[in-house]
Amino acid sequence: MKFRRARDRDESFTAFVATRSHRLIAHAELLCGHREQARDIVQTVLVRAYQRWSRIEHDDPYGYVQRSVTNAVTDWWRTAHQRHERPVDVVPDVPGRPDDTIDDRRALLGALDLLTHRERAVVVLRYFDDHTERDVASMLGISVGTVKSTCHTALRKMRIALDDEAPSPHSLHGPQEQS
Amino acid sequence: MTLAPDDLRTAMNDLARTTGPLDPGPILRSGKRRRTRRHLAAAAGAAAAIAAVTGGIAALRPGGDTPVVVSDGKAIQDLDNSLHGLDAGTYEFSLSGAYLITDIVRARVEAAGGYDIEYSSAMSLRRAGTTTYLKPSGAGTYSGPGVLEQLKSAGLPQAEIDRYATGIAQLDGTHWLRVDPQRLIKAAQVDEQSSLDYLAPTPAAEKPDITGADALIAAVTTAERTGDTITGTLDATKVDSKLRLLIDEPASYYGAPATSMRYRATLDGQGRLTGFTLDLPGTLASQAPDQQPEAPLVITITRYDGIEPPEAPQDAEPITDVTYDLLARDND
Repeated sequence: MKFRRARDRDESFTAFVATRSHRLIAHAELLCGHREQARDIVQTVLVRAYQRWSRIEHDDPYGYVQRSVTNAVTDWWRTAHQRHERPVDVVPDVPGRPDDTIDDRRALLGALDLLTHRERAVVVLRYFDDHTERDVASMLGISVGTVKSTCHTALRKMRIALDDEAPSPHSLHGPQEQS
Repeated sequence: MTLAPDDLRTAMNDLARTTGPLDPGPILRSGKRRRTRRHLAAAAGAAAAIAAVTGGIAALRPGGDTPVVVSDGKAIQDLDNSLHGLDAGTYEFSLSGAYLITDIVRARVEAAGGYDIEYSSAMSLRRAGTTTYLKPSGAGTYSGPGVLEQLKSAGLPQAEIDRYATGIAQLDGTHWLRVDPQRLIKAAQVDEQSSLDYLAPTPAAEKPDITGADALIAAVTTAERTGDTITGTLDATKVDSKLRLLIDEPASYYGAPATSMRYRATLDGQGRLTGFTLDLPGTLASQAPDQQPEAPLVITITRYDGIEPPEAPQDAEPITDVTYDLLARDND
């Protein structure tokens, strides 16, 4: 019986990694701007999450892991700053993507790069993860008013950046879809 | 152009759609490894951990002292007896496929005079007489060219930078270092990823056999002998996880086949064990669709006779305090 439970736990964990890790990587990449670093961060967080999987698997595991990824990226920002590092990679890991997708990704990440860490986190949590302003305020330990004003400032910066770019026909447009 | 919130949502979701998922198999295994390491560290303190590392924990045969034997009642006794060569403490062997032990390319044991263990990672551990030596692998966290530059840019005092530079140089894989085995054990117990985490037990007077064959043979449930070959099944759930030969909670990983894994042992003309291969189940309980079957656990005893005690390496230097610290986290 004990083994049965352990096997169920492992199957639940592997299913979660198979179906949700791509979105966690995207979340991390949007926050930190580097896909390889994002994959490393998500992998590390998932290994740690496995230790307590039996406690979190039935209670919004995606939310739990996503919060851990957000915190891990914050730690990465802090230590990268202390080390005076700024990774320069943008290594595509999905072969055969159409060029317009790469352009969109670069444009998006380039615009996000202009934001402060807080602005970036607010934008990602609001528009990628669809959290409410109140939830974002709670996660980041700031007021709802600060979320509103930070979001406004961030979007204005991104608009200016994207206006300055020569837009491709597909740039940042396409059917809205949750993957 | 304008950037409406929906445009941003779409762009971000497009990015997610072009992102590949992680392979669950390696993450599950890393998670299990980490949990095993934490359990080991927590289990009864350092003394128990040292006992495990030195191979002082005996595995119990399933069902006590009366194993289930099919086909050939004498075969299992032959297996037990085949360990006498290893127990004598003079042998040479290789090991591959153990769960939490780096593959051993060649290990030479002459228990009274010392041992020399060469790992596939290029790390070596040697005892000659009463002195222990380590040659680090030259790989890992501190092998990159920019490590010292990072330390310098972090604003450390020059004396500290010099201290780290000495430690980092000692890890470059070209130096034999005189080490304190107890401090190596303490470095391995630090809750960080270290190349020391995956070292095999070292031979001790009370436990000269470090191959792990005794624990596997103790878990044998069926045996049949043909010539000098014995085949059968063993119950992996009875192999002590502290020995790190097999995954912790194997039944949760492999399912029912964990209790009847197939093995093949070979003996020499004197009845001594020369090889033990354990086939890990091909279909895992937690297997991802594209995951490959695991390689078998293979112990090969290449020699029992003519083993000379190892000599002290030329030009060995004393390990520094900072090198122990670096070794504790050189695999992050």
